[in-house]
Amino acid sequence: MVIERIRKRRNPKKLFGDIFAYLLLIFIAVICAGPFIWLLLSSLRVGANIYSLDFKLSDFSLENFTGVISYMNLPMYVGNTVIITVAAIVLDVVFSAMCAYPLAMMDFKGKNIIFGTLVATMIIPAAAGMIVNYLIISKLHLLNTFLGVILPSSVKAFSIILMRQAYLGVPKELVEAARIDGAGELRTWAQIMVPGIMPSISTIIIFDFIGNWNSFLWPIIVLQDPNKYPLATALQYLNGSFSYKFGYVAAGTIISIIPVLIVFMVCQKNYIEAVSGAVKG
Amino acid sequence: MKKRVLSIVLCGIMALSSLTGCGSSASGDSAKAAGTAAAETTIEFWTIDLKASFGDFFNDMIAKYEADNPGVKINWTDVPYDDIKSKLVTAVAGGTAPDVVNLNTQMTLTLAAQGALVDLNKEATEEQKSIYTESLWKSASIGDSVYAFPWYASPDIMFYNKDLFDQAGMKVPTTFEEALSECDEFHEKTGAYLFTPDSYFNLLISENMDVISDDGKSAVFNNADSLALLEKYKEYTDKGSISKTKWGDWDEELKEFESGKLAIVSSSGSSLSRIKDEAPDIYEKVAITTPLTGSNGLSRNPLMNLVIPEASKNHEAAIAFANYVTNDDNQLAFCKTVSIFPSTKKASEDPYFTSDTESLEGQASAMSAKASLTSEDFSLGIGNQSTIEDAINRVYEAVIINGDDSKQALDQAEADVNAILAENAE
Amino acid sequence: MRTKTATMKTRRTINAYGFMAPALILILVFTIIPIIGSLILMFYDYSVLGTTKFIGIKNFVKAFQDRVFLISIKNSVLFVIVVPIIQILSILLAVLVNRNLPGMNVFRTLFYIPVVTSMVAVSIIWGFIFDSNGVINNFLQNAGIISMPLGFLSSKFGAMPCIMFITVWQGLGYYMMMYLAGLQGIPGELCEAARIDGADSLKVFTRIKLPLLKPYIWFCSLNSVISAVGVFDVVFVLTKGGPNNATMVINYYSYTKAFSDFQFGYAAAIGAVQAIVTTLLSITVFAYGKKGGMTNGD
Repeated sequence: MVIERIRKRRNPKKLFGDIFAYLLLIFIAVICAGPFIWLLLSSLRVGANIYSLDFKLSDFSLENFTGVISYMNLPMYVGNTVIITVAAIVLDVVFSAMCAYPLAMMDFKGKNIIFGTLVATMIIPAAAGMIVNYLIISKLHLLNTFLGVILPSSVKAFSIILMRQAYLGVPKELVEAARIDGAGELRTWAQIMVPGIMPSISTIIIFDFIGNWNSFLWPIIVLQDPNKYPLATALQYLNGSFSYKFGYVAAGTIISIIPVLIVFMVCQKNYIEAVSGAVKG
Repeated sequence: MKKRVLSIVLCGIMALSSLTGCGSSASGDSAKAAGTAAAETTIEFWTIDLKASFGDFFNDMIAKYEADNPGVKINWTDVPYDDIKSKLVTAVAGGTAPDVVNLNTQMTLTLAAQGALVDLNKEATEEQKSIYTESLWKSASIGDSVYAFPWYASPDIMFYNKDLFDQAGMKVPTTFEEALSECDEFHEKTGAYLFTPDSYFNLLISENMDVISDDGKSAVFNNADSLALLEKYKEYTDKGSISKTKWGDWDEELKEFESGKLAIVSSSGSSLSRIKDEAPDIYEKVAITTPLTGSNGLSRNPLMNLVIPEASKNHEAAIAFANYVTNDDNQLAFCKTVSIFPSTKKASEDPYFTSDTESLEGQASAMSAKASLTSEDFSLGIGNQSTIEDAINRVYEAVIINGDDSKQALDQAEADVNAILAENAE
Repeated sequence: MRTKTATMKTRRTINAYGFMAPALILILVFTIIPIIGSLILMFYDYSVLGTTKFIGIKNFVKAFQDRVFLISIKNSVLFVIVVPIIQILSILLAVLVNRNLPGMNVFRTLFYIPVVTSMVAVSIIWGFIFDSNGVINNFLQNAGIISMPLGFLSSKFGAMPCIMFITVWQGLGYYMMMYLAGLQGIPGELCEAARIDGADSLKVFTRIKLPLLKPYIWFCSLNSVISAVGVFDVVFVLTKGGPNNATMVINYYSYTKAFSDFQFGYAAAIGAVQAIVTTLLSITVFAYGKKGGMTNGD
C-alpha cells in the first residue's frame, strides 16, 4: 500500500504533467490577475511616479487607504451598498424562486406565454428604459429612497430561468411524497423545493452581488442625497478634475473589489454544484 | 401635447401603481418627509464635481444666501461630470427638474438648442447681466439669446519640462508653427515629443479658419487651407516626430508628460497639483508659460456656466441665486481656493491673481490671469456643437491615425456636418 | 368527476399565479413597460426636452441611410467572433482547473478576478497597459522589438481586437466556472472505464467529456451571444466608439443618440434593430444546438 503510493507519486509522467499544468496555471493567472495586482501595488505606493514600474519597498504605505477612507466617509458608503445589495438579493432570490416554481412544476394556462416573455425580455433592449423607470419611480414617490434604487433591477428574468432549470433537477418522488402527506403548495415549496435548489441560489447570490455592488449610474439618477449613495457611485467622484488623485482611485477600487472576491470564495463550492444542477434540466 | 407618448405608458403605470403599492411602500423610507415645508421656495442647485474639494466653501456660501433671503431654501446636489447629462435629462423627463445647474458651454448649447433652457438675455435684469466679462457672457449664446451665466474659467496654461529643453538646448516655442518646425530636432535630441497638437477642430479655429457658414446652415471647412494644414501635420506624424494619437486629449497628454515623454502640455492650472501627486519627479522640473497659439493668437479657455432649465418652477428665484453664486465676491473667494479664473469684470482685475510669483502654484495662477486675456471658449454659437466637433475630429482619426486619404476624409466630414446642420434646421 | 378535475385545474392555475405574482409584477413594471415604452417611442421624434411628434417609420428610414449606424451593425456582428473564442478557451481552462492539484481554489479565484472587476478599474488598468507609454509598449521598446510605440486602442486595426481581448479576459472566468460545474457533474467511472479501454486523455476529452458538456456549451453560447451583441461597457470606458468609428457598436451608438443627441425615438429604433440582430443570432445558436443534439446531453 505504502509502496504503491510512493510509486504513484514518483511516476515521472504524472509529475511532468503536474509541473506543466502549474506553469500553465501561473501563466494564465498572470494574465488574469496581473493587472489587478499592479493596481494593488499602485494603491500601496506613495510619492513615486505612478507610471514607473520600478516598485520600491520604501515607497509602500497604507496612506492611500487611510486617506480615501477618511476623505470619502467610506464606512457610510459601504453601509449603503450593503443595504442596497442585500435587499436586492433577497428580493430577487425569494421572488424568483417563487416565480420559477410553478413554471417548472405545475401545469397551468399561459405558462408558455410567460416563459416566452421572460426570455424575450433578456433579448430586447429598452433604449428609453432608464427614463421610463425614472418616471415610474417618481410616480410611486420612491425618488431619493433606497427602494427606488433597488426595485427596478431586483428581480431578473435570468434568475427565474436559472431556478426553473434547477427545480427540474429536484427528484419528482420528493414532491409526490410531500403531496401525499397532505402538504399545501406553499409548504411543499418552502420545505422541499427551496432546499433542493440551494446551490442554484448561491449562484444567483454571486451574480446579483457583483451586479448590484458595482452599479453606479442608476443610484445617481434616483438619489438626490449623496449620503445615500452606494460605494461605486461615490467612487465616481474620485475622477473629478479637482479631486483626482490616482492613489485614491486605486485604493478605492481595491476596496470595492475585495468584498466581491470574499463572497465568491465563500460561495465557490456551492456555485459549482449550482450550475451543474441548473443547466442540465 | 408635450409628452403624449409617455402619457400612454404612464396610464399603465398609474393602474399598476395601486398594485405594486402594497408590496413596495410598506417599508416606506424616512427621508420621504423632507421637502414638504409649506411656503418656502426651494431651489435645487446642481454642480459638477465640487463637493469633494470645496464642500465647506459652498455650504458657507449657501448658508449666507439663505440667511439673507428668508423663505428661500437651497438644496445642493453635486454630480460627477460623466453623469450630469443623464441625470438632468431623466429629471426633466420626470418633472423634477432642478432650478440652477452647472454645465460647460457645449452642454449648455446642446440643451439650449432643444429649448430646454431659460433665455437669460430676456429674463435676467440689466443689473444682473452687467457684471460679466463681455466675451465670456456671449460664449453660451445662440443668436440674440444667452443661455447661461458664465462662472469659473480654467484657461489653458503651458507646463513644460525644463530638463528636456536643457537637454535639447532649445527654446520653448510660442506658436504651433514654431513648435512644428522644431519638433524634428527636439525629438532627435531628447527622444521625447516636443508637443502634441490640439484637436483638429481646435486647430482649425486657432488658425482662423471658418468651420460653418455665418448663417449656420452649411459646413465651409473643406477647402485647400484645411487640407494643407492636415497634410503638414501628417508629414511630421509620419516621420514620428510628433504623436499620432491623443491630439487634444489633455488627460492623456498629461499622463505622457508625467512619464517624461512629452515636453509640453497645455492644461488648466489645477493640473499642477495632479502632477505633484502623480509624478513628483517631473514636478521638480516643471516651469510655466503661456500656451501655444495659432494665427488667431487665442488659446482655449473652457468655461463652466450656471443655467436655469425652462422646466424650473421658480425662474426668478433661480436666476437670483445663480447670479449670486457668480457675483464678484463669491467668484473671487472661490478662485482663491483653487487655480481657476473668474468670469466677472471686477473679480478678474483683482490683484490677487498676480500677487504671488514665487511658488509654482502662484505662477500658475498669474499665468492663468494672463492667458485669460487672450483666450476664449471655442464656441460656434449653435446647438450640438459637440456632435459637429466629433465629426470634424474624425478627419484626424481617419487621416493621422488610420492613414486614410485626406481629401476623402474631409469630404466625408463635410457631408456629416451638413447632415447635422440640416437636422438642426428641421 | 370531470367538474372536479376542472376545478382542480382552475385552483392550480390560481395557485401558480399566486406564486408568480410578486416577480411578474416587478418584471412587468420595471422591465416590460420600459420595453413597450421604447417600442412605442421608435415611431416618434422624442427628445424629452423638446416637443414630441409621431413620425411613423421615419426613424428606420433614417437608420438605414445613416452611415455610422451601418458601421455599428457591421462591428457588432463582427464582435460576435468573441463568442466561440471565449467558449473554447473557457472549456480548456475548465479542464485545466478541474485537475485535482493542491492550490486549485486559489487559481480559480485568481481567474475569477476579471469577472468581479468594476468597469472603472477595467478602464484604469487596460488604459494603462495599452497606452502608447504603457506596459506593453515600454516592454517592446526596451527589448528593441519596435522603435515606435504601437497604438493599441487608438489604431484602426488595433482597437477592435483590443476591445475583444478585454471582453474575453472578463468573460473567461465566468464561463470557466460554468464549464467546471459541467465537468464535475460527469461521473468519474465513465472516464475511468474509457481509460481502461485504452483511450488517452485527448480521446477521453473529445469522446466523453465534450459530448456531455453540450448542454452547457449551448446555454453559455446563447448567453454569450446576447451579451456580445449588447457590448457596451468596455467601449464606453475605453474607446467611445473610436478611432473613426472603428469600435462603434450598436448598443453604444444607441446610447450616444439618446444621451448625447437627445434623439430618444431614434435610439429606440436602433435598439429594436439590435433586438432583431440578437434574435437572429440566437436562433442560429438554437438551430445549431438542436442539430448537434446539445439539448439532451444529460
